Amino acid sequence: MAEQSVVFEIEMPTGGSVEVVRHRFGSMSRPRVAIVSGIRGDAPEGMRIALALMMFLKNHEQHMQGCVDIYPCMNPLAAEQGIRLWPFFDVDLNRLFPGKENGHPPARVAHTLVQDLQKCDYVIELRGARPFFQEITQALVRSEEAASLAMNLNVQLIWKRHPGPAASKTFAYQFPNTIVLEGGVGNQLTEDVGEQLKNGLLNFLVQVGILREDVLPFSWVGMERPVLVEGYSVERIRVSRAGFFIPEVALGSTIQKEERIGTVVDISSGNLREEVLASCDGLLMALRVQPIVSLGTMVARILRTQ
Amino acid sequence: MSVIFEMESPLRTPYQLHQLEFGNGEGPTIALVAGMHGNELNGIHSLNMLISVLRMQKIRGRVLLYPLVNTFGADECNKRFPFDQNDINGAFPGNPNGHPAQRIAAALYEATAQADICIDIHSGAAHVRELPQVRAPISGLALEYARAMKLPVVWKRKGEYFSQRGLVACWRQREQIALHVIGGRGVTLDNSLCSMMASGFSNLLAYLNVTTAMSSVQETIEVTKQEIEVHRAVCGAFFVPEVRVGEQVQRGRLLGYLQSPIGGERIDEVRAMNKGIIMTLRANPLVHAQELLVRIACIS
Ligand SMILES: [Zn+2]
Repeated sequence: MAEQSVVFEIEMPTGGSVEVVRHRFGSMSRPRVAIVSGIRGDAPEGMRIALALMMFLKNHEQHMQGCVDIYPCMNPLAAEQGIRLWPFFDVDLNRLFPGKENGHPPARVAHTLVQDLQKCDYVIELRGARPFFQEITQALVRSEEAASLAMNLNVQLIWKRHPGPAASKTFAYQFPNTIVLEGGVGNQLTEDVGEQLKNGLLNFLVQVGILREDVLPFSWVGMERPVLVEGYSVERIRVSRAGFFIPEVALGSTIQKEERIGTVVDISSGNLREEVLASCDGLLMALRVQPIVSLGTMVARILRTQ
Repeated sequence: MSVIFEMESPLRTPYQLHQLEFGNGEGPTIALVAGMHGNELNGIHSLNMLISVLRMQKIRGRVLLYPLVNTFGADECNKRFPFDQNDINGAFPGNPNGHPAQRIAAALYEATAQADICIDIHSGAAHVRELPQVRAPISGLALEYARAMKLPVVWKRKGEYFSQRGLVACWRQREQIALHVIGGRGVTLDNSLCSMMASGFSNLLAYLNVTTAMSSVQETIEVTKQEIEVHRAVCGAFFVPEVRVGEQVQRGRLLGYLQSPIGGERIDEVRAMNKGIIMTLRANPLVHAQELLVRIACIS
C-alpha cells in the first residue's frame, strides 16, 4: 500500500517544523521511478502534477509492477510564499546539489534527496514555466537515452541541451538520464498543461512496465508526438531597449523571419521604442508575459525550423 | 506556558500563539507583548529576561506575557507574517475569520482583554538603533506608568501617531492603559539594551506592587516632539556616525558625517545643536535624501 515517509524534517528555530515527504507506491522492486517537484517554490504546476499522479496511483496500486516514489514539495518554505528561493538563507535549492551532509537545511535537503534517489532507474523532475514566461510543454534532457524515453511524455518538444556552467549544481545534473518537464505559465496553474503532463507521466509509467495500458484514462492515440531538438536550434529573442513589452503573437504559433513579435514602448510617454522582430523562421516556444523589460531581456524563444 | 491559539498552515506544523502567565490575580493584570514583528528580536529577549525574574518572585496580580507572536516570521527574519506578508500589528482588532494575521491579532486582542495595563514592545527598524524608550500619552495614568519604568527616554506623544490598526491604538480604544516600548535595532540582538528594557518592565511591576522592588536606577529624560532634535540626510549618501545611542552630547559635538559612497568625499557634517542624549541613530550607512540620521533627546 501507498506509504508516506518523512525524508527530512526542517526544524524551525521557534519550535515548529516542516516535513519534506516522499510517497511510495508499489513495492520496492524494479523498475523504480522517482518523480520530484517543488525544488523551487515558484513552480506550482509541477506540484499539481505530482499531487494528481498521487491520487491516480492510490486508486491503481493493485495493478502496479515496480515502484514509484513521488516527492511533491522539496522546498516547502519557498512554496508557502510562492517564491523561487528558500527563505532566510535566500538560496536557490536548485544550485545546491549534490548538497552537504552537514550544512544549513537547504544543503542537507539536497543531500538527502540525492542519497534517497540512489539506485533509481528513472528520475523525472517536474517544474512549471520559468517566472514571467508562458511556455509550451517540453522535456529537457541531456542524454540520448532520456531523449528517447521522453518521446512518451505527451510533450510538444524535447530539448536536448548541453549542460551550462551552473548546471553541475542542479538537481537534474546529478542523475544523467533525468527528464525535466516544463510548461504553462510561471508561478501559475494552467489547466490543460497540468492534465497533459499528468497523462504523459501515466503513459510513461506504462512504457516502462509499471502500469498496464488498460488502466490509462485516455487513449495513447491522442498523445503528442514531440519534436526533438538540440540546444543550438533554439533562438533567444532579446530586446535592445528598456520599457514595456507588448507581445503581438501567440505562444505555439509559427513565425517567419523578420515578423514582428511585439513592441517595446516607453513607459512614461507611450512612444514606440523598438519593434521586436523574429530572427528566424520557427515555432514560438516561450513568450514573456511580464511586460517590464530592460536592455537585453529575453522576451521569446523560437524553435528554428531547418 | 500555554498555547492560547492555534491555526493550521499549508505546509508547516500549526501556528501557535504562546502565553506565559504569572501571579495569583489579586492585583492588577499587566500584559506584555513582543515579537509581533518577526525581525525585532530585542523585545523577545527582554521579556525572557523579565520571566527569569518573575520566576523567583511572589506575584501580587497577574502578568501575561507573549514574548514571540510572529513565530513564522521570526523563523525567516521577516517582519511580516510570511504566508501572505501581512503586518500583524496592522491587523487589529483582528478578525477570527479573516486572513492569518487578522486571526492572530484577534486571538491576542481577546487574550489581553482583561489586562489593566498593556505594553507592546518593538525594536527600531533594521536600519536604525533606538535607545530604550517608552512612548506614552502626554498626560494621565499611562504617563505615570511610563515614568515608573525609568527607561532612558519617555517620549510623550499625542495619540494620532498610532496606526488605528495597531495594537496600542486598539487597546486604548478599549480604554486600557497601553504603552509602546522600543529599544535597539531590528534583526540584531542588543543585549545591554535588552537588560535596560527588562529592568524597565520590572520597575513598573514593582511600582504597581505586583513584584518587590529590584534596585535598578536609570536616568530618565522626558521629552515631547519639540524637545527632540532631529537630523536628516541632506542628500543620498553614506553616513558615518561618530556617536553611540545613549551617549550624552554637548552642543556643537560632531555626530557623524555624510560622505560620497564611492570615493568617500565628505559632503556634510552633522553636529548637535543642543545638549542631550542620543536616542536614535542610523545603523545602515546608505541613506536616501531626507532619511533620519540622529535623534537627540534634549536636556533643558
Ligand atoms: Zn515593530
